[in-house]
Amino acid sequence: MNKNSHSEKDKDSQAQDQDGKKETVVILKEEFDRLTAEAQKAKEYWDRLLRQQADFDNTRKRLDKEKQDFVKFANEELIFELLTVLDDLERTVELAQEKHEDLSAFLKGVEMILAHLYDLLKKFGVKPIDAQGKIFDPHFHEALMQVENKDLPEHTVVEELQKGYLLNDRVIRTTKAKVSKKTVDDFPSTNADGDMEKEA
Amino acid sequence: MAKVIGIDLGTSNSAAAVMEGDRPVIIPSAEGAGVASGKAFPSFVAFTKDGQKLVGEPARRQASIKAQSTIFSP
Repeated sequence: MNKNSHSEKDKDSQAQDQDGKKETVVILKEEFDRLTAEAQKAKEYWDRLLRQQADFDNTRKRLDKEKQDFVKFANEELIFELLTVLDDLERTVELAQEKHEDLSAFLKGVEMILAHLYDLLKKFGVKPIDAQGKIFDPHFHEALMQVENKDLPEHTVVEELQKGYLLNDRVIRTTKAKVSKKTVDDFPSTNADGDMEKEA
Repeated sequence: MAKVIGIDLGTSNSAAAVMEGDRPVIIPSAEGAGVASGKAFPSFVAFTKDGQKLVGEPARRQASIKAQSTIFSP
């Protein structure tokens, strides 16, 4: 009942919009019923859309919060393991403060802690990037300096200024490298690395 | 459904975002983010000798030794 009058009104206002005055359209009952059903369906879909949009927004908010919590506490396992390293270091420092003559024993202790830390990081998927002597690769290395070296192939990593690391095969820190070059003169007119053919 | 993306080509950093629902979400670059720029990546493009293109972080890392084949805003 209600929906019938509703769709009637819709039709009327439509007719008004087009002509600016009221107009009566005669349609078959069959057609009228069909349109009424369609209008009802459209309303249903609209409601469903609104509800789903609200659902989606809520889910997204919930996921965002879960993600934040995850980020906050995902490190727990790693931190827990790191605490043992902290303990060891504290003990070492305490011992060294008490008696500071036995340097070799102290060094041995620190080396053991370091080895432990390496193992621990390895367990968590951390791998050092082996850059020394390799050809410079911008996906793993970052060039900070250049030194002339005629014997090495162009752009060889001569020295690691800071070690790089991979976490589960993704670079988390690039190797900061000193890179070799063949020629002393790096002025644009010289064809230093073959990239300037046109200008040379 | 068609997606809407926005691209910000900045002098130092660039970023691209896609509309997800009613808000934009920055697309992280495959090569990783720039140093202090969140999800944006450095506005660097480089061409290597073997015809490859480098974009963003990798391009920046080799800029100091291959300045002649790297394009960026100093």
